[in-house]
Amino acid sequence: MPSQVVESTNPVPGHRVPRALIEQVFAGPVDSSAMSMLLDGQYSRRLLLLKVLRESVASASSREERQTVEDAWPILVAAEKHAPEIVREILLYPSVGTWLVRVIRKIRGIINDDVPIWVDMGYLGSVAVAAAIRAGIDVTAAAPVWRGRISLPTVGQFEVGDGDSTRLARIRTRGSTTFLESPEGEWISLAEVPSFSLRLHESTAGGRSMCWTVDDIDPYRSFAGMVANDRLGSTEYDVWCNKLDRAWEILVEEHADYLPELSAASPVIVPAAREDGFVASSSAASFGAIRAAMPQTPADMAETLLHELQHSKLNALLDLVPLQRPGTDRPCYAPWRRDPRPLSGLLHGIYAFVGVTEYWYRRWRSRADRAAAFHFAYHREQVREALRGLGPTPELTAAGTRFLAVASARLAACDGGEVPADVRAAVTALVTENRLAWRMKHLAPPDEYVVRLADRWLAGEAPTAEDIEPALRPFHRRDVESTLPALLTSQALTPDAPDAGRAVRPGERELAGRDLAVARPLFARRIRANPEDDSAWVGLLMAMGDGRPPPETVSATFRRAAALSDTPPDPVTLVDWFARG
Amino acid sequence: MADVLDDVVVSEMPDFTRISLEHLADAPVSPTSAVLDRAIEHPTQDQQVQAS
Repeated sequence: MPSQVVESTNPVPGHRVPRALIEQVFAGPVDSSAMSMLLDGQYSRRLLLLKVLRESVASASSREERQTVEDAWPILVAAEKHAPEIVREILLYPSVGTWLVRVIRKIRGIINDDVPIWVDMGYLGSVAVAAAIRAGIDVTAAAPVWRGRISLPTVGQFEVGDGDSTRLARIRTRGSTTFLESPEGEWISLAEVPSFSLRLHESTAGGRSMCWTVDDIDPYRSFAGMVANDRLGSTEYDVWCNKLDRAWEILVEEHADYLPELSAASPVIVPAAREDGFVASSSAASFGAIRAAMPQTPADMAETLLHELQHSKLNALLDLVPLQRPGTDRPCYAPWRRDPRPLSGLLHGIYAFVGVTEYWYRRWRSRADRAAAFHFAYHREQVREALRGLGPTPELTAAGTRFLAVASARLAACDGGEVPADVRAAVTALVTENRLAWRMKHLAPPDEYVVRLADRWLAGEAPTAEDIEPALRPFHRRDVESTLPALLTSQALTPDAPDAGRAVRPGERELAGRDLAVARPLFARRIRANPEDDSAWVGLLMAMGDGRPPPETVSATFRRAAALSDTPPDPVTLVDWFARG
Repeated sequence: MADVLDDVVVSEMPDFTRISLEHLADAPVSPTSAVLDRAIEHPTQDQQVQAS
């Protein structure tokens, strides 16, 4: 409860984070007391950003831009005096966190888009009006109408103009009625205009209830930039609610230890389109927000909820306790991604995927489900590879080192000895494919090294035995387009019809079927036809088995030798040649 | 690498939970550069994508 007057000039002390909280977060599910501490940290983060916003506005904005912020602030202060818990709830709403980071970045010139800066700065007026409405105090304030709509966080959105209308409007609250001043100077009740409320959905299972907020209206609900209202139709909304209900049943039945943190986080579901393989996302700015495309199954929905909540939870801890030492956010290989991830992202992935591994492990153990076995084995192998790649490193703090130790122990506790052999084989292939494809796209051997190798090949000599590290050159090759991951996944999930109706490229079906002797010449033919066919190189190296040379080196050597000779190397022979080095 | 944690870690994040908004502007804080760097300069998002 905010009640103390600060008169001292001593700095406000930092949050005191007990070791028990850190250990609990590292170990997985946390209790409501731990969540309360993490939420306190998030509230401090929001207030710190508000403080920074006010200071930034004072120093870097025009008088007109400053005015809405200066006018809104006393309203927020007054609302807090009437209803501090409501103001805290509004300030902790996920999209308010996204807005805060965005508006400060915009003032600082870090981001620049076509939304006028006064719209972003004016949103503090929207926050203040929302607080005044919910606290029941009478105020007059200015808030932005963006694309014809005025948005009041946690209250709703009101259509007060056409899609071209972007302006600053005055709003007045009187008793239980809120009025908006029209461009003609008339005061109209917001109750009389089309509106979109935030929808809440309650799921109940096993005597446990959960309230989800489904936010498809707030302009700051997406983490990337301002977005228009995209209201779900009633049918689509019902499908979401049904999936949430079914997911809640799974969570109550199989993952009851996660229920306290789910309830305390008050998750806000932000529906999104399934484009470019998008599954779900979370943001450090918006604790509790889960932006997701419609999961295919209730079990997938439950996984998504847990997965994204793990990111929020770790983000909340990282705001209090660093896992890395300063200046260590180097790009890393993350086995669940095709792009280089900063070390912080790798740590995040390790944490989330350990939780996901445990999720599928429990499901597999409880119902011997093939899909659960696959997802469990796949994620466990991904995290294993990430942990192996990272190893002990001085880049981590004591907390970071402890984090890795606990992650390893959690993974080791998931015994996968009975996963079907064909599922294990598919998992091994998937993890290998991702690593090779990542190397092709982001690593490059030094040019002079490739020249030496090609010269020796052309001279009929053995390859140089040098141990040359490739350079990280993110995205220096185009996307490795491959149908292999989807084929391997399908094969693991539906072994009776792994490629039904699926277009696959030459060699991939044979590789997935472990018919390696047939696969090799098919990949080699693709390479001869197009030496830039990086997925063919990945496939060939997978078909060549263990002891394979680095894909970026062998493919670069091939291209160099082919350019210097009328007869390009035979890809299979070239790969074998590297083994002589 | 030592992985022994102190019983209590004092965070760089100022504890504002007992500070009213009215006094927020005047509340002195210690340097919060790492916190702000993480929040503003290098905000993180995590996104799951699926192989098509």
